[in-house]
Amino acid sequence: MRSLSSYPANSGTSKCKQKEDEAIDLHLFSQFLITGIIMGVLYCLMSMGINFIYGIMKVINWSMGEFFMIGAFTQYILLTFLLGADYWYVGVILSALVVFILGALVQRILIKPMFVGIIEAKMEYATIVTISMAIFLRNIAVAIGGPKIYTPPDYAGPTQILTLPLSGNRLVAFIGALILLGLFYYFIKKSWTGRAFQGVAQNRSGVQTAGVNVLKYDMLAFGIGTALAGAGGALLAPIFLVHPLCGLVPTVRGFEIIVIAGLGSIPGILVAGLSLGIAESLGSAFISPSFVDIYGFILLVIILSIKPYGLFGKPEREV
Amino acid sequence: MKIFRCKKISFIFIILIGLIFMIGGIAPSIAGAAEKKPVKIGQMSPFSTPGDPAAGKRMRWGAELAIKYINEEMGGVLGGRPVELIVEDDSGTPADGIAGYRKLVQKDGVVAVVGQYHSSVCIAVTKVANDLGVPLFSSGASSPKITESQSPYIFSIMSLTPSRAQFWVDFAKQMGWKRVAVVAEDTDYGTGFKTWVEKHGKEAGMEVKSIIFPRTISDLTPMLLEIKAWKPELMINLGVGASAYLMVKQAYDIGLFPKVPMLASFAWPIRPEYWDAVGDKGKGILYTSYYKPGMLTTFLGEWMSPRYKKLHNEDPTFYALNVFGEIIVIAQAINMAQTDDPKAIAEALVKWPYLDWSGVVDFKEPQGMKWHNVSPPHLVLQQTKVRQEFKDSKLVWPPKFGGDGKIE
Amino acid sequence: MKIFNLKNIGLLVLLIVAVFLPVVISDYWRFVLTIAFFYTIMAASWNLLGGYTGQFSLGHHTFAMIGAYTSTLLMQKAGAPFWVSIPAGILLTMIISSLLGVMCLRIHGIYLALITWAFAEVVRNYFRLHYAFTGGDRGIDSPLIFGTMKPTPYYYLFLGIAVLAIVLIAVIMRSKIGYYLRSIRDDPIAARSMGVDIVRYKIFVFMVASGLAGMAGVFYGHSIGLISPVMGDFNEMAMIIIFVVIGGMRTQAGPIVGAISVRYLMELLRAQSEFRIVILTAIVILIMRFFNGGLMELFRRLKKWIRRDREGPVSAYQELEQKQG
Repeated sequence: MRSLSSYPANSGTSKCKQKEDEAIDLHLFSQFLITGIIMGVLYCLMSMGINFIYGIMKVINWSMGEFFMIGAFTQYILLTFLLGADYWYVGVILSALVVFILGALVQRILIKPMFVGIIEAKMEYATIVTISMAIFLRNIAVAIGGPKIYTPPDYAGPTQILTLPLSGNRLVAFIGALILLGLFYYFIKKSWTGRAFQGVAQNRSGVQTAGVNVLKYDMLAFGIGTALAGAGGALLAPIFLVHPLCGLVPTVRGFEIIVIAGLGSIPGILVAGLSLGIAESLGSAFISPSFVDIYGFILLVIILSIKPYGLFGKPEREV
Repeated sequence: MKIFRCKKISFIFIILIGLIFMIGGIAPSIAGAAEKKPVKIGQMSPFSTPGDPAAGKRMRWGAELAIKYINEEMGGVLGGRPVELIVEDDSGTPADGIAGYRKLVQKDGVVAVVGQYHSSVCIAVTKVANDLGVPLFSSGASSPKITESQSPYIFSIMSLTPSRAQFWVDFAKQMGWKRVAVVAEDTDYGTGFKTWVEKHGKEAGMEVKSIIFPRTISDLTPMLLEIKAWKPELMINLGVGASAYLMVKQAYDIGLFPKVPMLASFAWPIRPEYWDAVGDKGKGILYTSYYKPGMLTTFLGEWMSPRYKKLHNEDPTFYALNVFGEIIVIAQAINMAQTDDPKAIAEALVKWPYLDWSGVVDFKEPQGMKWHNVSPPHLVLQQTKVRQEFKDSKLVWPPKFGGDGKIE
Repeated sequence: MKIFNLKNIGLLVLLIVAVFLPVVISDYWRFVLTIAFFYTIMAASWNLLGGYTGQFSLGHHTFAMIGAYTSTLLMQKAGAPFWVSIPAGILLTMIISSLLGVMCLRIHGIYLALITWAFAEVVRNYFRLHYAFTGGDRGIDSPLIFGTMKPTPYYYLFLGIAVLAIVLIAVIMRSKIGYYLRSIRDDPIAARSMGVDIVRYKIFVFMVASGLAGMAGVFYGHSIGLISPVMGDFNEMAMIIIFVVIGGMRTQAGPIVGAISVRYLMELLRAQSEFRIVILTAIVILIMRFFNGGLMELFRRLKKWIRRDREGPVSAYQELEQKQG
């Protein structure tokens, strides 16, 4: 452990110098690293949804954080009033389902016109509509949910991972996120529907000529993407608490991750998510925990100045 | 035309916009001259993002009760004129605050404005208040810069940052703690306390370590790990809302709290939502308060608290009580001034002492930050049981109110 | 083109009305209009960027914030006078915007939105967290340019710079550069093959628009008397988009009509402040979905409906469209 004498009495002005003097010992370092990995995987879930929607429809859904919030609220309502804490996994599935239906409806009503020929500037249309929707949903939640903060009941006791004492909920969320990511990967790579999705992502018109109803797949993709966010919200509800702004941080991280990874790349998301989580943790440990929101952006800027399309991204074909 | 598909919908929607405009233009002219013209009091608080709507809503609940009290129990002001509340939103944005204050004063003709919450908005609005001469009450903004402006129209009934920081340092000194950690959010509230606890702590010979975190944070583990490695003897939790609860929960998970006592910066551990959020993990938290039910409140506070609890299913927060008290103080000042002229009311506020929910309010005009500032006494209390009621909390400090200086 | 046609006379009348309006309205409405003029500049310059050129920047509000903070900090910390700090603020936003432009304008459109958004978040977080220098969340006192809080002089100041900005944008859009910019938005590859230096014009327009935003921000700070990191909040960007979309994207009058009418609507809806933003965003979604074109499109249809014989285009873009087709 750090010795007391390495701390001067005044921590105000000499903070920088003090930081250089102290050596962070292995125990603390490992704790930071584990926190980083766990958070990284949790952020991946969010990012995967944004990325999947982009891959299929070539639009960015800026209201992802609000679907996350809706997932969290649904989980809260389910666990508190209907199911009870023991059936939290049922709650996660149901919340994801609710968000899936909502997302598919939103796509059907608002996003679909983009692809049936009445919208000129697609990127612009999608950006404006989803940004407006984000702010719309957030303020509705403020008006309905009121000033209160909600929390579903705990379902797992404290545990320990290697050197880090940890809340059981967080471990559950971590494992749940890994399982969801694994299932998603399996679904995309192995199932027939998943392969059709891959086709749509690669060449929309080509797949259409092969007899795939692209519009139907768009709706499914939007639903699945938002459902991933909703499941994330449900899993993280007891950890991040449930309030109208609870989707904000996960969205920010989600966007950082997809830019670092490169749009449309699935393995890139995992790499980028983990490196973001670790960068945040190590930045907190070595520089200052206050700037935790900025480390991800610094990583992003570094990556983009080396690889303008992200780690795994490819230049968009513009014809 | 390419896009003009759903003619009906778009036309209905255009008519709707037109209607909104028209109603908005006509409505004020209909409100007419009644026999006993109501006296208007304004409340301007954040009700929408980027402000903090949670704070604004609770203050509004307090203000509504105050209006009810004046009209039903006091029989109005100035011999029977009713009081009316006009609510404005400042969105936590200085420009919106200035516009809202101008609207309240110049369009609605209010005699005083209460409910300022964000320091940035309050400082900006104070400058306009100087010009327009309508008293402005800071109900939740604790920056000493607000009262240091020494405007004749700024009033505040709350403890400013430096005096509360001094109170915490005195408390820590009394308990024999030498190493104090401060974990604060990046708002003016957090950074102000960080600065002043560091300053007063240093004067008292303590070591203070402070960490600032972003307000929207959801994972405080890195900060808390660093604090844990530093081995503090007291940790001051300067979060507001979700981050405050998250800090308790995550500090418990990594084994920091309750080994190290944690002091909450105001009385949020009495809210039911706190216990929902942290469960058993929140037991033993210390918190700062200005009153404890059954003591230190006047009959006004006794009237308000049960009604608030009945209406909104939680104990009144300090800010709600404060706005309630301020409006009643204004009503008393209107009666003393014998007029609804704002300038005369501002003079009357300074001239005589008044009664609010916690005691006597007497605005003085010394140099510096205590200008027009009345600070209620502070207490440190502890939640010794899960879901403990406010009235059952253990009084820890100071001894003059019966605190025994022991924590469980 | 005749100078004294109906349109120009109409514009002149509007300007005269705007000049004499403060005589008949209260201080409160003067202040509201001053803020509306600020947003007019923001919306018009963003329309130049996001509407005409198709560069969907989500960091436009940040440039106003950088301008405001630069000027104020120069005055507060270095004691610079107004005539140094104001140009310095505008210049710095232009430098930063061109650097950002060089970094991200070469790549695909969606990345621009993501990167400018990330940039905005970094800047806002910086101003919040470095509170010892910037005043943090409490904000920093900005010296008042006319030394008073009375809104009348600021009304004329903002009216002046708004007219200046609108004229500048109109001149750019009517010049050769304007046609280049539209061609870049519609078909970058064709534009490039026709010999238009895409990157150069993109950076040029990015710099102009951000410079205008910076200018608006600088004066905004010096007329409010206090600036805080709220200026950099994403809500501000959303408001700019709301103004432009409700007014009519890719029209010259759209952002002006949008900013002023929506600010007016927001003042009327003060009593329902919780639902203000909800209503506005719902309108935006409906406009985008069913009625692409906003208020200006509505005016155009009305005009067309009243005078069936003569159909006047609202924007140079539509003029071009009509000539072509």
